Amino acid sequence: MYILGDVYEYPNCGYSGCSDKSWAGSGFCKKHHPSPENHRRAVIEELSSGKRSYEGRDWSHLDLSGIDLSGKDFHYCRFSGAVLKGAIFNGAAFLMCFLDDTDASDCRFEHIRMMNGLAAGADFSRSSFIGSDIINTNFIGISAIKAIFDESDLFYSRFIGANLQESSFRDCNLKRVDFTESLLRGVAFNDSNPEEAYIPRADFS
Amino acid sequence: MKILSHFPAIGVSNTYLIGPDNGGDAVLVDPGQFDVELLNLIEDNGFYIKAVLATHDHGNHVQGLKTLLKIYNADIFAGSDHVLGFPSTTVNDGEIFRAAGFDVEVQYVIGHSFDSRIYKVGTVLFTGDIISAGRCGTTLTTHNREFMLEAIKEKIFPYDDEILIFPGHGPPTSVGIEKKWNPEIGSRTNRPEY
Repeated sequence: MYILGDVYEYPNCGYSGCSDKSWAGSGFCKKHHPSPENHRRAVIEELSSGKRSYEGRDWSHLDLSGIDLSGKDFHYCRFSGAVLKGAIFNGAAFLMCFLDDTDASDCRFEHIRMMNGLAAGADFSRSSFIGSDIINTNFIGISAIKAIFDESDLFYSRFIGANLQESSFRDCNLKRVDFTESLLRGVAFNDSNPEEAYIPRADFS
Repeated sequence: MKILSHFPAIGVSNTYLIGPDNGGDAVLVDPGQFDVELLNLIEDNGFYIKAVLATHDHGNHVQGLKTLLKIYNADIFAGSDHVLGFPSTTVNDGEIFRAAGFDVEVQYVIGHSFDSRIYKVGTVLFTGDIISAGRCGTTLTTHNREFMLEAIKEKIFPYDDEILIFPGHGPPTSVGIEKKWNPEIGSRTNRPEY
């Protein structure tokens, strides 16, 4: 797998004298973009087209609420800080993608494949990840209240310090999954292998 | 610049490959295992391994050197003058050097191993076993641990929050995320108060 360098260069806003970072791959910060709404619409139009694979793209801090991206392949793409409320990603693939600090509540990530992902600090409350392969992914500090991870392989992923109240991890592979200091009140682990996970200082109360 | 990562089934230590977009001389960080999948990754991208950055001389991070050096004539950069018995160039705290055409910035963070080094290439830190997503490295004594945690705050936390951390084990993270969420040194957790 590889990362395209540009995605991680964090270029500055192209407006003379502005030192803010470029917004959502547009070349300008949101304040200096001539038409943020047009940029958002263009991104949504492209994402909603028949195109299946996206590589090295930056959609940080965009409002993509309710979008249906089922079956798409995302390689080294950045959604950091985006609003994804109610979006549908069923059957999508995320390779080394960034979803940190996203609002991804009420989303459907069913049967996805995610590898080496960075999703720390995101809100996945009431979202569903049923039947997914989510390997070596960073979920530290997430809120995932009443989220469903049933029938998923979560090998080597980290939920350190996460709020997982009333979430469901039924019939999951939890080998080397790290739940250190997470809040696990009301979490279901039926038919899974929490014995092979790290759960120190977690709170089940 | 491309950065590729390799997650071998054996040892589960991350290996990273840094090379130019269109192939050429490349850098390998921590060759813990040198398997066919890694060889294909190198060759398919048209890379030639010219330099190896070892974050520390522990087997699960450097064992692949034996195979690698039979295939590529690479220079080794590390925190000591030998790695796995192979001669290496010692790089020190604060030093900036060129490896396979890339500028590499070095930090020495005490605690996990006497020869631990952190390398910064572009906007990415390769931290070996010093810090990973939500965790800090193991140490032999609590005394060492205190030194290591202080060194992390002193040497890693001053970087911009957006700087990525590609650790020796586990998924990618960033300086900002660790400053906020790492239970040992971060500023907050998501747990409600009781």
